[in-house]
Amino acid sequence: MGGAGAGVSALLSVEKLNAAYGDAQVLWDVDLTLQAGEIAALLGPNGAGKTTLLRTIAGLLRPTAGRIVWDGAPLEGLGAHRTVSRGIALVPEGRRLFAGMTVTENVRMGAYLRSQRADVHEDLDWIFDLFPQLAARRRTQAGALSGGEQQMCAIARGLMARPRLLMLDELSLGLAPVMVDRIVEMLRRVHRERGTTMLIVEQDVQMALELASRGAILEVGRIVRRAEARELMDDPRVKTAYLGL
Amino acid sequence: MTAILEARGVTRRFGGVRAVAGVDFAVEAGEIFGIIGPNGAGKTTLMNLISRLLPLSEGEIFFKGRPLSRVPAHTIARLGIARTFQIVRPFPGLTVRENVAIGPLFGRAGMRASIGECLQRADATLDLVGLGARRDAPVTTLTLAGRKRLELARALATEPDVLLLDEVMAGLNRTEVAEVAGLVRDINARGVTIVVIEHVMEVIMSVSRRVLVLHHGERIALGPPAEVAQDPRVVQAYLGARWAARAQA
Repeated sequence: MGGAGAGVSALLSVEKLNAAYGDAQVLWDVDLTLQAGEIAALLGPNGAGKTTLLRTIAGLLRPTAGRIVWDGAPLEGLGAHRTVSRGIALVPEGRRLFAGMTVTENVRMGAYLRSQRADVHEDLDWIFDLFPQLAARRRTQAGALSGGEQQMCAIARGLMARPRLLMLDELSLGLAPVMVDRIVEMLRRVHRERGTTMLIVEQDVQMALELASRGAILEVGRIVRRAEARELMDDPRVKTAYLGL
Repeated sequence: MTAILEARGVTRRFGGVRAVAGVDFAVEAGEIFGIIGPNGAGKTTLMNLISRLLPLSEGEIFFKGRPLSRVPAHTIARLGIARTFQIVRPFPGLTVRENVAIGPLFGRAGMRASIGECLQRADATLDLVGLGARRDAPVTTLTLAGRKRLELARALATEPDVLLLDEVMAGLNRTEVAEVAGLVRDINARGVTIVVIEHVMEVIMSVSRRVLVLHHGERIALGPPAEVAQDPRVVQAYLGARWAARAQA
């Protein structure tokens, strides 16, 4: 995860990005690059703008200024449906499943824009192999799943878009530690088998930095530090960002 | 120092969820008292309980020794408690000055002051918050930073003893944040006790004399910012159990 111009081969390059809700500006000149295949963590306290950055990349929010370059082409202002079809999937905070639909139906929604039926079928098998716990409940309504299963279902739905970039917002929120471990293990496997680039926002800072190779700290809408995950683990700036002291 | 505001066993339930659970604390007269905690910790709910926007499920809040649960909600401002809201909603058809005059008209002064006196008080308050030059502007022409200052002025013009601030800095840029932080200190220096919720940790930890840390509705720490920031439970709430465990080791 680098600043602007950190390598021409970047898969995603966010340049001087500004975003706002009405006249409340949330992001200020954010620069961020992701190399293909890396896992990066976005750290920072409540209200720093982490979710807003993910939402803006995903096309759910139009930036007020700046550029998002994806695989060499501009992405900003395209809208979420086009962003998904270009290979970017967001697993939103709070999962946002369709509560009245079954697990399979929810998961398949992730492939809504894909036309190759055989591939979709193959991916569905792969996903249920990845999440045996979910496979056992494929006909259960999503609203009846446990929190951990719901999170798995949301990740599965994201993966069904066959994304080159998977963004995960507050992955472990409200989950038991054992469930978090299981999901992290599964994400490592996805990364190994598919080489999917990932951008994670996570309140469990230690977990985020163990999973990611690089990290950036957002504070009040600006990136204040970028470093290798290993370095950030011993960086007092991380704690300062969260606690102000 | 004596407690001007005291919470004992304060609890608020929403269905089966305890948004605020058995919280005790005492705010001393004259201090700036911060309330912090991760998302969903119960900060705004607690603010709503103090200002009586929501009834308590259990417990009691005392203002100058008087139990607030027995006081009708609309008289809170007259007792001397004022608050700001995270989402500012000025009266759109009025000028900046008229918006601020609503405070004293409704609040303590309204019992004894004329409209003219309330407008004068509005002017004095607007000068204090740095909006004096905009007093005759329609309120709709203010920027967000301006609307936040207006929100402060509206509350302040009621002449409160305790001012509750809910995210007055959210959405502001760094310069504006520093200006509002200075304003909060100025208001406090005039003798107003301040209870503040703020996401900008750098600011709340520097302006507050003491902070209360909430997590899942419960009090997990209370003390001076420097002490609270070292508390393992606080570090765990903000950075996760694994980080806290490693930091301890």
